[in-house]
Amino acid sequence: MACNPALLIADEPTTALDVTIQAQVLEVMKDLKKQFKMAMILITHDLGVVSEICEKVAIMYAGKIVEFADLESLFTNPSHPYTVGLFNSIPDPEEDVTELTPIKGLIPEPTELPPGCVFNPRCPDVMDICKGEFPETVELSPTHRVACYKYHKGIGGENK
Amino acid sequence: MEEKLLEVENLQKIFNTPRGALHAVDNINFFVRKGETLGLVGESGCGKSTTGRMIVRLTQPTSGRIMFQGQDIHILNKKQLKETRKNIQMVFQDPFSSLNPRMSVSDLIKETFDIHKVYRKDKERDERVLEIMNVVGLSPRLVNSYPHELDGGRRQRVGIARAIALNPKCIVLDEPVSALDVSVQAQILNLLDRLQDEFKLTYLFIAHDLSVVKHVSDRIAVMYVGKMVELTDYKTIFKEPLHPYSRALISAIPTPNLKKKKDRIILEGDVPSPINPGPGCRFYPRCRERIDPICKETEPEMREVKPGHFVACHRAE
Repeated sequence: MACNPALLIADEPTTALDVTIQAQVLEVMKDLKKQFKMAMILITHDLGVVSEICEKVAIMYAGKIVEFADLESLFTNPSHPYTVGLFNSIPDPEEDVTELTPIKGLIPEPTELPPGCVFNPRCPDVMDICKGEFPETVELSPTHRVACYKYHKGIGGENK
Repeated sequence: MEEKLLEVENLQKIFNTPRGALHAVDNINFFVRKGETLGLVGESGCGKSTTGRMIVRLTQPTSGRIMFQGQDIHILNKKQLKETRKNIQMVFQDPFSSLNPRMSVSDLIKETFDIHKVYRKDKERDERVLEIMNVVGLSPRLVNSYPHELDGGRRQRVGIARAIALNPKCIVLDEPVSALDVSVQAQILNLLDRLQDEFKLTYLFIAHDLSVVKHVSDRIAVMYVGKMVELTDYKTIFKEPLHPYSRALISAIPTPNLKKKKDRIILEGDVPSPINPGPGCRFYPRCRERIDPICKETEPEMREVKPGHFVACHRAE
């Protein structure tokens, strides 16, 4: 903050903190952002933190951005199977679930990425085409883009 | 689920530091029923791990008792101690630093059998290693792999394999999923759940992530700077937390859910030092509901305000 930046990149700023301290830090960051009118890239794995502080969200998987949307669309209508898997893996403190539905399999080695869509070996909705080339990005709405064949016209079942 | 498997009475651990007496764990009391999971939550440094380490006898308490099946585990003869060690096992947070990097997966699991001289024949033992690996979801081809060749989830499966190898009754899980990705975390939580059903295990689950703790626990205990401040079943602690600290803690969980945004209680100030704490409530400096002078001068006792709901706060009724 010392040089009045126009952009602040915060890499997992609260990951090592306890929730009560985390809440304090997030408040401070929100205030600073307003006060100095700066932009911020927040890097995190915690979707809860994202929902507190961000306006737009990009979901990355194995080096690729697979989904990019405004906060509201991402949380109400997560579209990439990986994003959906992420939401299903988090225990929601407001709800009672006996078993979590994790994404099957493991993240690939960065040196041995699968051909086609990087997520295809773990994807519940995998199709043949997914093993060919990485899908192009499809616009679901002006603020919501996703890189998945499910949403390509004439391929996936649910064209939107 | 009535029988108390583990009982902790007035447990205290004071470390002598150059700056004074550090009260890591200060007179805590609780019990764990057979087959249940007790979640232990609180900020880092509040004494959760020290409590866990005393239960497996890695740390000697300053005072107080830990009863396992009615026996004080810190006054046992050699034979009883060995038996108790088999029955209480631990899974550590960081599976990379808790596994010997120079031992393969099979060596790591064999070690537990060799220490307790369980098998006379190597063949029987090696068969059992493969069986355990199968139980925790490790493929047999990993038998000769070393920890650095495994990802975090598999490493933690090795840690769990070591813990269940001797058919224990109770496992202390110290932040078992904190170092893992959310998707792998969910796999490990499901595994722990399955093992508990299959082997009738009792868990003491230590973590700072409340959503995870709620997911696995039957009852939850909240600690703050060496003290236990609240203990009740997992539903009540989320619905009607009585201690102001528990309330702040629960309101501070960021939920990945846009509809249910709640009012946050933002605490002021930092966590106080556990070195030479003052006479009053540990939470006094940050508490919004403190009553002067009682909260500053007198430490609140843990009281049962409703059946099964314990809280240490002067305000609680």
